[in-house]
Amino acid sequence: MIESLLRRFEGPLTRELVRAPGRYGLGQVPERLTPNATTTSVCGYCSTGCGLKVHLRDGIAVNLSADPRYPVNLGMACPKGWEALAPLSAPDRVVTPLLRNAQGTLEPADWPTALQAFVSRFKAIMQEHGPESVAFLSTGQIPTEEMLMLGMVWKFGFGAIHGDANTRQCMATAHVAYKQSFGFDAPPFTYKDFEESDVLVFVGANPAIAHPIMWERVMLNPRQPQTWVIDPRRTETAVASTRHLALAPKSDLTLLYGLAHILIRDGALDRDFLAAHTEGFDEFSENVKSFTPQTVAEATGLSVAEIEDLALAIRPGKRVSMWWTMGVNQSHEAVRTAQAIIALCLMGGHIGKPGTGPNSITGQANAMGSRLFSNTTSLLGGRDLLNPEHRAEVAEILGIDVERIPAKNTLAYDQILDGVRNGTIKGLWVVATNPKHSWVAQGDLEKDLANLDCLVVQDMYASTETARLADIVLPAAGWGEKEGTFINSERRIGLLKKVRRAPGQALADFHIIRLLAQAWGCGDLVQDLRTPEDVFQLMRRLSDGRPCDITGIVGYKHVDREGGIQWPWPKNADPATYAHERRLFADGNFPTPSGKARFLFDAPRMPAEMPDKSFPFVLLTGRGTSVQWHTGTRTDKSAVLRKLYPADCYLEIHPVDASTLGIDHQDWLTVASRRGEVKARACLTDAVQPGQVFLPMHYAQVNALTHPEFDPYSRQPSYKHCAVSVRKA
Amino acid sequence: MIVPSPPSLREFAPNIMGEMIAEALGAQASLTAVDVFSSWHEQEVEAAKGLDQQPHLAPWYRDLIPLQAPGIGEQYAFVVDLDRCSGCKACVTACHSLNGLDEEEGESFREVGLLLDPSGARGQQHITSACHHCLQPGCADGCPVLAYEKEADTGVVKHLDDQCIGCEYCVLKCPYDVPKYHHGKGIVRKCDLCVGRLRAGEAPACVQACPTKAISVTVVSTQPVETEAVGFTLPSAPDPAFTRPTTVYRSAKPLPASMIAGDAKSLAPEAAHWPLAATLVVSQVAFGTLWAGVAYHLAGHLSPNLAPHLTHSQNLAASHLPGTWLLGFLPLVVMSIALGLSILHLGRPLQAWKAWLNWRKSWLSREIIAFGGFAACAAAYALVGCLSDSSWANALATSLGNVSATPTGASISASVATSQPLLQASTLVSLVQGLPDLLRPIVAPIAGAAFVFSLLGLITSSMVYIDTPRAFWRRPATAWRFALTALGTGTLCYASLASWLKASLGGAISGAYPRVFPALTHEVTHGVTQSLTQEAARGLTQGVTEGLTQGLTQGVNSGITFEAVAGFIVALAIAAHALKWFIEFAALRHARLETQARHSASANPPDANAPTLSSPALQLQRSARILLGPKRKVWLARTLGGVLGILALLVFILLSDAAGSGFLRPALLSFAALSFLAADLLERHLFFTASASPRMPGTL
Repeated sequence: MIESLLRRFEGPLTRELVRAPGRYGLGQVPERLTPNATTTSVCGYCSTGCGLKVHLRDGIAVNLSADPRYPVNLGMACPKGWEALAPLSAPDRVVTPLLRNAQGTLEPADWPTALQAFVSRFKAIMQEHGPESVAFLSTGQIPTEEMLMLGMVWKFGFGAIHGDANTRQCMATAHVAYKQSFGFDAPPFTYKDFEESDVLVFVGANPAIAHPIMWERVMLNPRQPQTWVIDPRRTETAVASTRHLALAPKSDLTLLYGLAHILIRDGALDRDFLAAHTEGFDEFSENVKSFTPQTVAEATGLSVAEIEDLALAIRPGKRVSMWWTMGVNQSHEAVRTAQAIIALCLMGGHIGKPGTGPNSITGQANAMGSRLFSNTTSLLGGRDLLNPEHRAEVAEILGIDVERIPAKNTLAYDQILDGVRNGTIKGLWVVATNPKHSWVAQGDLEKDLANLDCLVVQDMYASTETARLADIVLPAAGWGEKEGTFINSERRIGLLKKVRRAPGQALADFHIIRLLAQAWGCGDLVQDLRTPEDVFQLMRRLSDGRPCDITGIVGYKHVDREGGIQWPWPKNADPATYAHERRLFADGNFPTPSGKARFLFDAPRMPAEMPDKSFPFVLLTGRGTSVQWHTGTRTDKSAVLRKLYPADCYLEIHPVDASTLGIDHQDWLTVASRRGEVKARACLTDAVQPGQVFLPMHYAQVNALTHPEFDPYSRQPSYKHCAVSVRKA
Repeated sequence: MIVPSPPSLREFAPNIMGEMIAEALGAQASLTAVDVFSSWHEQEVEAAKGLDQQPHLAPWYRDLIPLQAPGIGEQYAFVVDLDRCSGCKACVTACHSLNGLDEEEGESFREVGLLLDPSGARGQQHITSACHHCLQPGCADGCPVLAYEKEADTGVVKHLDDQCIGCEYCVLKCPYDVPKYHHGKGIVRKCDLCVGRLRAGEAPACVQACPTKAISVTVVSTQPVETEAVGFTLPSAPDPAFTRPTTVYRSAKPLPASMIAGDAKSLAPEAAHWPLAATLVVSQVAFGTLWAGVAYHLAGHLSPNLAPHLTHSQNLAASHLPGTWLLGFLPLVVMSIALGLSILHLGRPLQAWKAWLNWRKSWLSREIIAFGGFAACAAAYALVGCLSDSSWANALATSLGNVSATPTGASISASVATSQPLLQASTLVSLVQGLPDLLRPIVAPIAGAAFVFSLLGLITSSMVYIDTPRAFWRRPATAWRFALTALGTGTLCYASLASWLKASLGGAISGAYPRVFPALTHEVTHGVTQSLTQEAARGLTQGVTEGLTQGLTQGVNSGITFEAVAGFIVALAIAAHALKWFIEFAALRHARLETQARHSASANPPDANAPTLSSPALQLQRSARILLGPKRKVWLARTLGGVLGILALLVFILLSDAAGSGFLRPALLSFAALSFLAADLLERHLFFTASASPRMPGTL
């Protein structure tokens, strides 16, 4: 009795966690964070492109949740999305430009000084060493409008040639594979295909962890689909799937050719489609003749039965979709592997229909925007720099002299860094990426970057591994502090909105590039581009008549209202036929000169570095957890996310190997390759096969080990295969 | 590369640049989302005005929450479909965001752990867990202030944030590591199953946010038979028998018992809880001082009133130490320190007075009551022990008599009638003289009560820890540790102080002790009767000085009996501390299980059906490995303290025949007492930091 009198059910501490109706369709929200408006913004991490509902109070974001009405994520988000606001409030945001002083330390400067420093340094380098002595390395993380500004100002304004992006590390392969096979970089699918397939084959993809919202869509599939996972690791996706083929690392091309062999052997082909809409099949068919189930079984370490079962599963008749991501893209023969997936889909007619497609799951939030509009490897609008007609089109749209458009392709990322190493590249501008952590086989990269005549880093944080080496740091506004559009994996253009004020003098990349153009003396290029939406209108004009035609999209409000719009959406399209989910090539016409999709083949070869006596393990790398994003510059800023991933770098090793080496779970280990050695803690798991080990890429030391091998077509690094030794530290 | 200092701003930047920069900064600072997109979002604002508007996500979770509230004999429970959980951890972040939890602490009421399979049979499995809203919630049973409420209608175990005093006992009581202490707020917070959302027909935050619909809420019976689905058994998870958790984990693919948690081999020490560790040690020292005092008393040395086998006159004649009153206060003083330290442990110390509230269920409440009882008895013991001594009363009477010019107390009554001013004084004298006889009979009961409370204190202290799910604590060893601190360190502390007094007094003259009080009381009385003149102050000072000086110079009659008691205590302390060390040492043997397990693993390929260590065995193993690993130095220091103390005591014994060793022997005793005290504090630090808690599977 007296006890009940002395108990406090209410009070200030209790009130802190009281929930109240949030309105705006939110349900209950924390009372102290009740919004007085909401808006939708597309997430800035991965290419899934989820819609986030930002809870605003007086125009400022106070909280967010996943948007139930966005057609991509249907009200769900992964932890990174839920924590999208946290990185904006990090204490180590850079709030003024920084210049390295005579003592070698970075000190604050004002914008005029910083702009002048940039311009005078880069002009001096280019005057002395020519237009090919400078380069930029940008990103798949900034809006398309900013990418376009950067690539356009750099090449047509500054007169520079070389500029590449970290999309080289994630999507270059898919880009080249689609371009060669379909005539345009055009992922054909829509996310609805996850829900409409009978058979889903994931090749080198772990959507459960890397793209949890795509996995959501798989789990929503009502057709009780078969899911197959082709991956050396028993990933979360593999555990949850119907079948897992744990093949030998980098034997996927052989396996895919083996599947083609069986389909041809059994006549399990969509012959009408092959005849009408493809070319090169006969040659391809000839080439895969030697890939008998027996030889493929030997090369892949799989059983003949496993291979035959999968071949049976992907025969024509059912809705078969094949999905790939970094396991394929980051390989020494990546483009041909992607094209083998394309070939299998073409053979079964698995394209242009619900639940089908050779589908590349993209990596970064705006890798797709980069592929179309960054003006790096392609000319604006997915055009070719070497094509005079394309150059003329662009010159006309921009209203500039065609001579300002260089008729020369950029060096690829690895070639730019080679230039940095051997001194031909003397000035480097790094925008929203962190090569000091992320680039393959780091070697002496730190020293090389420090030796540059001028290294400019434009980022939200001066604390990234790369920014710490910079001569000039330009403070950038981040996601949520600026407007623009992203293009996601299914070609959906989504809008991001300004819901927070950038700290200090940080500016959106849009503004920084515009100011630099003016300071350089090429302000004419950006004079009419006063807002990001002005650039979006330019993107519309650039897309006119291209496969990525978006001339039917009126502007940002249109994108916002529709919950994102997939390209193409040409101006003459009938709005009545508009659908939230659209796929390409339903008519079987491909944007190649012949209108047909191509079969392409190269004989598989071994990776350059195989395990041997000194380095007996194959090192695989990849995403560790769903809460970590790449080099962690943003995800490390959230206290919640930090709790959800291991603080120490860890090495997955099979219990049998661990037992042989006397290694116990969570022991400290030394992992060494020919290029370096790192410390990591043991994680004993059967997710890896004996003889293989796995390191997550989010820990900076991992790239001390990786091997610099590149796909010859896409020049994408093969992060996922090198030889290492393991011992107790 | 150093950037050369750029030209001045004016030289470089014509006005247009300055304007553009200002424009850019201005544009950057404007927030446009609402203005620009208002036409579209106004529709939502309009829609939002409908009060009964359904959350947009309602269709998604409609099937994931029960249609009806629990009936009688039912409650809500989480259901986790392990086959659908992909380990994305969105539930954790959604709980954080949708419940407005603390940013800086990264607070969330849901966690996701990992089970790994060394056998190769199953692959990894992520385990999402929040509060299990147990049928027998350990947190609620343990909370001393009744800050937990198991709701009658929903079964939700709700934490009353404003009732919490931040003692963190629920953290120790919960086998699942669910209640989390918030350092900034000084309280614990936990999951309430978003019961307010459920009442409004909405799903809990985690249920709303799971992209694969792996988490749902159901209604379960609160009277489950053994075979029913309520509760769960997961590899490496705590035994559900402790608290009867209600969460239902489902999987069509059985989880091999050989699966290990991602953090299975983590040797991260548990929270040290220094104030708590110190409280335990100091309170036990207080108990020991009482025991030692009683031992001296029983031997007739320090307080004759407590030697019932002696007559009053024998008591008076018996030798006793001066300053006994001081020693009589020792248990009280030490216990007060312990209680002060215990307050330091609390997040909200001002609410500490409520801590007795849950005496029906919580051993912590009972401990606090026992400690309070002991403190009260110790206070009474100290005061009554002094006041019941006739010698001070006689002396007081004498001084009162002096004031009234009456030579003896006996004649005071005679003068009462004649001298009005003396009436008060003489009454006082008789009262004073009668008081010791009045009090004497209750001294022994008070000491007895204090002794009983000291035992209750030890029992309740032990049960506070034994009654948790931590294997390291759930054993008789805990009670032994505590009792042996009292027996070894506490008694030794008393003996060393007694020894100092004896040594500093040198000689052996009876009656010194009473002189202190009589002198004091005489002067005080004198001062009072002098109408508070300056004499009083002088007299007071003089009295105290004289009394002490006399006492110190006159010394005591140090009979063999005193030495025998001291010797007995020393022997006891050596035995107790050595036994205690051995009990602690024995805990290290569990580390060996590890080696055995590894041998069997290397001899045979991993086997899905391989027998696995029980959860308590794994906890004990982790405790031992923490002691031998990250806490090795503390363990060695603790051992060193014990060894030094025992060595000092052995030297003390060797010197027992060397009469006149002066201050060496008390110094040895004090050194030993301090060594034991330090060793016990370190031991208690290890007691907490090595108390590997059971928990849900964690991450790497």
